Amino acid sequence: MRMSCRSFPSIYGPVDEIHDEDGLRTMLNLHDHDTCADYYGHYKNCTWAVIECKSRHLRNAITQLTETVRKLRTSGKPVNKVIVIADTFGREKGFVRRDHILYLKRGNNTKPLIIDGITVEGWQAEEIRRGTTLYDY
Amino acid sequence: MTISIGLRKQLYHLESRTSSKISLAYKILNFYDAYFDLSRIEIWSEAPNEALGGQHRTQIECREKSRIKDVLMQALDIVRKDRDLLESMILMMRGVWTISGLKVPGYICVNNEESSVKTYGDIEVGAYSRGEVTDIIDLFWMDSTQTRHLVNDFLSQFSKFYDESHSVNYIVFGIGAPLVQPVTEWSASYHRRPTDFLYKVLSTMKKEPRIGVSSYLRLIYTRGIAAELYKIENFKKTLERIAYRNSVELDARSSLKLVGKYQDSYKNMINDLMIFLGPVFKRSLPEDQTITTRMADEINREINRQSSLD
Repeated sequence: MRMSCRSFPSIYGPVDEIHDEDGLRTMLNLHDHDTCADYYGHYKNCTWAVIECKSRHLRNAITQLTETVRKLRTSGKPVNKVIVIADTFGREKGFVRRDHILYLKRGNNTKPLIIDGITVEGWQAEEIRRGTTLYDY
Repeated sequence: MTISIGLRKQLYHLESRTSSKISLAYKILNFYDAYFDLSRIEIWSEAPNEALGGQHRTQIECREKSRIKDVLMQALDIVRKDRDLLESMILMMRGVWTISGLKVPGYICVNNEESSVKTYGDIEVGAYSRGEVTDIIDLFWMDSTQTRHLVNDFLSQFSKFYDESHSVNYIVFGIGAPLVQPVTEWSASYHRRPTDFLYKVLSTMKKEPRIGVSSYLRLIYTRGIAAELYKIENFKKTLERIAYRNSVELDARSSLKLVGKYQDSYKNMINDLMIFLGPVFKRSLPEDQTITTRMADEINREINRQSSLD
């Protein structure tokens, strides 16, 4: 098994509520064939984040995040941040990361990747391990 | 995190190519029948997700195995009526993998959209991460008895796939999107042309600072080197020895099949191969700087020769 990040990352500071994948699946009443993100949690600065943190396949990570965000919102749960954590970005064609924001690249056009109105952030596992987070700045 | 299958085009008619891909995907679905339960088929254009710029065209629920072939024919009918959709189609067959008691959502995906084909292959077999399982490679290498069927038997059967419009060029089992990952992320592969495998090894070597051969390979036609390398009988024997030493099953006839017994066997084999080839290239190939210095010298010499003639 390969893991980019095993725990909820403290990108936006201390956390006071975390739901892991099993918790999320129970909370949203998901079936085995439903995809689900790794974490849903609440930072003390009042930010609710959905996080996919074992991503080796960006296209799949975006699908998991999209489906989780929609189900959370349908259940009336707030979502403010959508975050992908990966070892590397940019190998898969069509994705670019700049200042921790993921962009879609189609020909000469580049636009932010947006899920349900939320811009998707991309963090490298190494940045999380080093503790280089916005909280630390 | 996928098995990427690339097909050699023998017919250039997009409709028959699509029909051929869907037919192969159906055969894959049947092969993995004991492990994969299909739940629905989705047809997308451009990308399999709206956030990625895709458009969801249609969705057909399909839980009865007896209906799958009809549903796929129905999907093909929808796609073939719309030229734009045919060119940008991504057909997702979504369901659940059940292997070693674990249930993980997954898919078999047929790609027509050009950049998806380049990144994920004509057909992609994958799983979404769930718990400790981060990809399908984790699942397929969980139990060595099952690996033999899920990987070895799969490669034996599907490397022989051939119809009027397609034959299989390569099948790669690897982490992430294996076609764009370094070859050290693979766990098994089949290449109809063994030099395609070597080309991938050399491309990975170029980017590996530990091996230090990028300045020897940057200006060289890598495909040419790969082809010449594979003609050297002792190199083939070395490849066999390195594969054996790392528990990688090797079958080299006109094609090349490599299957790691354990998930990391293939990676270890590639590392050993790169360590073997590194010094060989350093001693046998000219470095970038040697080539450019010599070119500059020859340009100056030629200028001097021509000006002396003037």
